[in-house]
Amino acid sequence: MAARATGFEIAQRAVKGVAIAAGALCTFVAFSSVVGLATGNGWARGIVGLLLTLALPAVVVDRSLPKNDPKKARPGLVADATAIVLLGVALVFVGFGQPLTRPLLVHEGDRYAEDGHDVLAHVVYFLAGVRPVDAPPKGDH
Amino acid sequence: MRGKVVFVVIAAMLLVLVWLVGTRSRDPHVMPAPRAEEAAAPSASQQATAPADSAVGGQAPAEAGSVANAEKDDAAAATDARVAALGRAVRVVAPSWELAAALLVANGGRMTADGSAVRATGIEATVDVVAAERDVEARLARGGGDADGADVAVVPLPDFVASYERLRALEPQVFHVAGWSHGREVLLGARDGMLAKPIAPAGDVAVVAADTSSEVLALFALDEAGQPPTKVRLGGDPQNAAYAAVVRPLSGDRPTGAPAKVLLSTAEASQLVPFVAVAARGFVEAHRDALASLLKAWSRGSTALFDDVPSAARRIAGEPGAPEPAALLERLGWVSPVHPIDVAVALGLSGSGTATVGALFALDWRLLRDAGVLTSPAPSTPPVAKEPFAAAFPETTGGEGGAANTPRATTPDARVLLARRADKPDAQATNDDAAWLSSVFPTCPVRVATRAGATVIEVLSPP
Repeated sequence: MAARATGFEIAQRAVKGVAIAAGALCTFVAFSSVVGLATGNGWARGIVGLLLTLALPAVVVDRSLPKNDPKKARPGLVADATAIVLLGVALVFVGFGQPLTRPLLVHEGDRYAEDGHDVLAHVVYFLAGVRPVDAPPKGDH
Repeated sequence: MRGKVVFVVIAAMLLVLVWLVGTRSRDPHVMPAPRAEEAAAPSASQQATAPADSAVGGQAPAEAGSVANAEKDDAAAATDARVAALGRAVRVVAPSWELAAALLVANGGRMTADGSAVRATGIEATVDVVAAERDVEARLARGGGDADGADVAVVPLPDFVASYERLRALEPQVFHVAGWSHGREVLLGARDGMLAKPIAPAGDVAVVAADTSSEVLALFALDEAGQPPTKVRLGGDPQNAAYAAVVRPLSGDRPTGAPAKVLLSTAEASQLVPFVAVAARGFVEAHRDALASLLKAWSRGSTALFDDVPSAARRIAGEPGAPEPAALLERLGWVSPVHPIDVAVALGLSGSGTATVGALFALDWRLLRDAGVLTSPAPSTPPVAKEPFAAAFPETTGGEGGAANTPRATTPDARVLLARRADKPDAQATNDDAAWLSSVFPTCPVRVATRAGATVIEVLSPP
């Protein structure tokens, strides 16, 4: 029977969960915006972005596990490797690289807005560092 | 143990990411409308375009029903048309805070604030102040579609002329005069009254200048006095220079032996260095209505700024990177405010002023080219776009313009600032030369006198 998790372990898991979720979101947006340089097609951007977001940490986890007996890996190694890879991409693309990548991200947000995905567009604009302004509605003056 | 270290690393990366994303400054960005909506209502936007153009152009649209409702609908339609045409904020950049001050007041800050004059015209604007003229060029080159670019730059005209060769592909156009330099550029000489008598050039003279505007002041004054720019050597050691063109605030550690006697400044030549707003020709032609709206708001901002300078200085000083209110007050003192009618005259839309932006552009180009700063011939026509201003202020066009050149009183202790040899054969040409100097020195008496048997045009210190 598994030992009961301590409070610190629960906090660790929560932080890692948030890190993976935030990192995955930023990584997906980053890869989608890069694919957007080649095509504006929403399906292509979404599928390629999702594949890369899953494949990159998967490759790193595969390399991190012991070669002969993966079951001997340290507990939590998979989650740690996944969180570090996703957060690393997020920091490079959305964090420190934002002055360079802002146009890419803004265009990605524009594509979501044009496709009618307002919430996603606002999230991407937030990551890009711009404040979305709605065009004044017709007749509202 | 390793697991705890990795956890700390993950937590730190997460915190850094949150901090970087959460604390960055955010420029406004107009969200594009969903494609489905645009496709569903093409007729609405088409209907909006026609009254928008006629309303901005000053022609009354056809009215049906209530006047109030019609005006309300037209305003909404005009707003929609402009926003749809541009789809984002107009990005404006300036190399110093005093040049951007009126627009910052109109905009309620760097980004358009609710209740601001810019918002009232139905557009959005961002105003950035950068460190150097080269940064302004870099932003114009990127264009306003880039978050780090700009659609409009506010610069002294001589700086624009000097950068025109590098920006020629954009075909930048002057579409507004935001003010005139008033005392920022000062020409110093080694001795008092060096320009009070026409110069007989014996050789090259050395001039050191702080920037392009002061350089143009020096070249202009020497050219008028008889020392052509081809016989001026720019740069070098200040201690060996005959003239030094400096800009305020004056440095306290100027080298001993450098020229120190004030000969004249743009406080006297107050129509020599205009601060102009420029934009690429493509942008001016495609977004005339947005620029007209910006100009209306800009004019309101200028009025508000100079009606209550301390309040505006305090507000602008609150912007990131802005100077303290006291420093800003000093800088604002170097800018002469302009009224729409003065801008119309300067752009050549009204009156018969001789020191127009077009004439000054050609003058600056000639001076800088003869001095070796520019290498190519001037554009065949000065790059001035009058349409946005005419659309914003149709009532200012075609009139008599600003104050005529009336005779100015002299005082007994008035000293000669600048003397020009009247070497043209007929009296009309001499009068034209005097009128030209009179328009550049609008507060200074200008007289034609005979000195040692030669006719001389003298510009005197203002009363």
